[in-house]
Amino acid sequence: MMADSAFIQPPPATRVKKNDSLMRRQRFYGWLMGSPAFFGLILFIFVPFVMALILSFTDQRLLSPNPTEGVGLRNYDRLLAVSWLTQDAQRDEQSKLVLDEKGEPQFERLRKVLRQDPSYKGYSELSAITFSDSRVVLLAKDPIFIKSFINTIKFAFLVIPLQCGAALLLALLVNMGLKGTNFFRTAYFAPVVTSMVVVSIVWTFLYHKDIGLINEFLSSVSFGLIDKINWLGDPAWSMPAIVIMSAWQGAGYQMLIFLAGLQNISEDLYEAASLDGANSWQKFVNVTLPGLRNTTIFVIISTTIAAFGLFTQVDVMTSGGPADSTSTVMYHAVRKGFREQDIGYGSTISVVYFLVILAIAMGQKYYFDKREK
Amino acid sequence: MKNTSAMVDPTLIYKRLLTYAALLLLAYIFLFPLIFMIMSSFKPEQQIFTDLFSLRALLPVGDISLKNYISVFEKSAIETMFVNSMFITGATVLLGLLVNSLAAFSLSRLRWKGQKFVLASIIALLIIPFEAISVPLLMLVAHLPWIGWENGQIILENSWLNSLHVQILPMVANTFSIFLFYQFFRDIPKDFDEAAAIDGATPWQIYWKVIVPMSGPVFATVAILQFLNMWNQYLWPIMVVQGESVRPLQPGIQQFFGTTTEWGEIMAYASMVTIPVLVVFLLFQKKFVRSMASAGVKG
Amino acid sequence: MADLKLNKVIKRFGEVQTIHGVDLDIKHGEFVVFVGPSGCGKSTLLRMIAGLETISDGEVIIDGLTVNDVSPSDRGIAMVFQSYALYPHMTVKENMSFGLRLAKRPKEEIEQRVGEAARILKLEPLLDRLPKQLSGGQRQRVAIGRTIVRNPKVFLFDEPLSNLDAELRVQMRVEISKLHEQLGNTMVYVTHDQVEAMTMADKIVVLRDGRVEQVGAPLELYHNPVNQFVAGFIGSPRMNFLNAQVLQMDGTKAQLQLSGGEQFSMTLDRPVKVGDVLLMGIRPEHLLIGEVGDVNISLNVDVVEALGGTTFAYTQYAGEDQVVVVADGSHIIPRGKTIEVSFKLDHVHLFDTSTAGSLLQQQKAPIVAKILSAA
Repeated sequence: MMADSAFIQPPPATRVKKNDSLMRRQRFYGWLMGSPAFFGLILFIFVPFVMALILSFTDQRLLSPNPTEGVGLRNYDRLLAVSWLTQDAQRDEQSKLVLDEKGEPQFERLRKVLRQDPSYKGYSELSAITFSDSRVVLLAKDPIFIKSFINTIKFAFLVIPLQCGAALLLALLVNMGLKGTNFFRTAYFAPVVTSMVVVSIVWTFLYHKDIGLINEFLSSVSFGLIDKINWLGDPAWSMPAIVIMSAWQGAGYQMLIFLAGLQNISEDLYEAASLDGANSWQKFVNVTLPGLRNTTIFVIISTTIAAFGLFTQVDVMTSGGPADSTSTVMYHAVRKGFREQDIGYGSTISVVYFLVILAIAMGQKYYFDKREK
Repeated sequence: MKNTSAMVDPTLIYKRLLTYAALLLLAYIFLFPLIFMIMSSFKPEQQIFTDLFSLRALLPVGDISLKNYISVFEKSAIETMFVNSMFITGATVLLGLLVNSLAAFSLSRLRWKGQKFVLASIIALLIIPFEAISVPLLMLVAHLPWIGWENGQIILENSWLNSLHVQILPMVANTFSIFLFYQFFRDIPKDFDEAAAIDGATPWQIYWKVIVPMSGPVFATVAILQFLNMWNQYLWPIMVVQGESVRPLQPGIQQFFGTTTEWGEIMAYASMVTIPVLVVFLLFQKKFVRSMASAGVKG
Repeated sequence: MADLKLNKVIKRFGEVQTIHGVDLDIKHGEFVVFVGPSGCGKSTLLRMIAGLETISDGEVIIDGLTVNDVSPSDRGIAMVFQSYALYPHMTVKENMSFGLRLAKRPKEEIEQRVGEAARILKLEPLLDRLPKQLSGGQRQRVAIGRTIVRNPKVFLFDEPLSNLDAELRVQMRVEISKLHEQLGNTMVYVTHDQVEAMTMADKIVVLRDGRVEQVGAPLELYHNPVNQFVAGFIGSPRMNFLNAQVLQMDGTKAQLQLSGGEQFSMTLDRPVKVGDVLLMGIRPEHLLIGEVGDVNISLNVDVVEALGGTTFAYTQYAGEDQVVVVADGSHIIPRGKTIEVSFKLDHVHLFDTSTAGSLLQQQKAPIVAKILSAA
């Protein structure tokens, strides 16, 4: 018989106690091991989140000797208030329309009108729709924010189909497993590991009106038909420019996710489809697309959330311009909250930003869940 | 894994050629800006412009030299910024691996009251994008105290701004990392923990001697993701760092870009910022790709 | 050394109670097998002994000391897991010495104890290999080796053979039995395979839905099952069950009639109501070909499986459920025909249909005692 030498004698038999020391030990270690992370998350994510909510109701500045005051919903009002007014065109003594050199009707100076009416205090022009003898002027207390918000949505709407579509295309091509797959996959992924700052700088060069390679390429491909586009200087083209570049940088990452999703589709399904007489396109529509459903949903939702955070490219390439055509919600928040030190207002933007993202994510999820039924 | 029936049937020669054409064209589109950047970094500015309208833009021909690189070192403090980036990235990644894996271990392998609530909270925090809290976080760190070291004396600072630690510490605890670790740990059979418990191991010992050695893949994945994230960080450093002494590379190159129009030098700077990452990427290609894909899939 | 005692052990998961007051007394050196269908609680019970599950109520006592609140490593137990749980990044030697290294035992002691375990299990040539370089059977032996190194009072096995193929399983069964003979420690072994239970155990504990159905030596369970469940669980192929109606009662002697009209009489433990239908059990191997027993019945043969040494016949009897017959391979049983089989009254089991309890326990007890004393 073996001698037992290695044991600490257990405690003498007593009446069964309810607090199990094993449970207590797990609880101790559980909290001990998790505390650095939990502490970090609370301090650096949860607290700022709560702070944003609170600060949005104050006039806090970043570094200021003045005490902070609560200002109620003033920040939100400043941020979100929109209004409108109509103006009639100016007429002369014979009640004929006064037209300027371009033949456009003239209107009383907006600033005078706004100053006269106290209910329009704080507003300035957002945009105007002109009719033949009148116009409707849209007003906002923070027209740049409204523009930024619209820009951000514009960006999202453009970049999501472009980037996800490109990613899907790349994934399908790479998944065919032709020789050199590794090389291609690496090539498509290379932009992803490059920093957005570097990408923005290089593409600034490429987008140059006169010497940029993009215009060069377009003009040579169309035999000179396509004119030189002032990508970064023309308000109409500035956002598309950023869209294209962002899709270029991000497509590779989504491609990987699609690839993983494609490989999860069982080969059996394709074989069964072949036996049923399906051709390539039919297989794509009936096997591939349904099989990628969950992957696609994830890709779209995550791209959307990322799109709304658009900042770096704008900061590097266009500084929000030209004419605020590329200003985004986040860019505006940083400009106001950080560069102009108006933390209260910046927090307000952050809160609105978070609510919008939450609404979109949940809306998308709801939409996709409903479609599943 | 080959999937021969995805979109076109590659056994038909012309379809195969078409596919290759598409693949190559796309590869060109995705690679040429980077190749252009690297090649231009070796050329004097004049040549960059003259080479532009031909294939020469992508080739290392002509007056190749390291002049641009030398200029960059002279005109900016890129060495400092490089070291800053390395330190910040390294510290964040290493601390993050430890802190986040411990949290995931605690959540997945131990049983304690309140666990489910904490886990749900962490998943809830996942939704909050960094951008949404960056402004108030700025406010917070601007007023946090710190014990510093200057001229051999210990001093008390009253703000975290303009330091290395402000760029590291807030980034260490990371919900996505915890999530990835958690998913991986969950797949490890509890038998190992139990056998170790019978062998007399404390949870700490189980973590170090049993779980960590078995978790190579997830540690690699999290490390790679955080490395990329921290090396390429832009928004936060610009917000919290003014001076040059602790500025990392990304804001650095942006500043350089704003103060000069010497494209050759700009390209050299850009290349120096990018080439380390590209090299690491090329070397660990397979791991990289697998890591990022699995991270996305788990999401 | 080690007695292992379970005193009204209860396990609750939240609101649900899964183990309902188990009492067990295991003597030092016994090889006890917990057996039962999936979900019967055998693994839970084992894990409570090990300390991997908390004990909701009752006591587990090892060697006279209540271990409810004692951590697993201090209870004097060691366990072989179904998956073996060999640390994949450690060599065989490191796996086996892990516990000792954690306890910071001196190097010579570790060398000696690992060496001895390796010798017993013939693991010496494998000491520097990693688990992934070992075959299933080798990994099993390393898992066992790890337990030996710990020098426990009680060895615990959690379905260790489930992951092996059939041939290897038979081999390992023999090895574990030999190990028990060699070491002599108390061993508690969990399995769902009643063949393993019958072949390895000194004592079998049959569990169902968190309750102990019967505890006894294998042959005891075979010859004198306490209820229909145990009767049907032990023995392969499963016992046949037929209806037997009580025609007459004379004290405790009953006159019974089978569905086919055959009659016989048996002395029961207690009287039953006339007209009641009892459940009669007869094992396939106790149905003898030809008219050589006490009662004869006719069976219609459906399917015959001739394995050479044995033959299985699946038959129909008087419109009841299938009756299985196991016969020596020398008998040729024709398909589609009718055969005459008979059985001895000694081999008959009778069960009360309402409680499913055996009505012949006391009657059979002396027979079983005789068999056991001869074994």
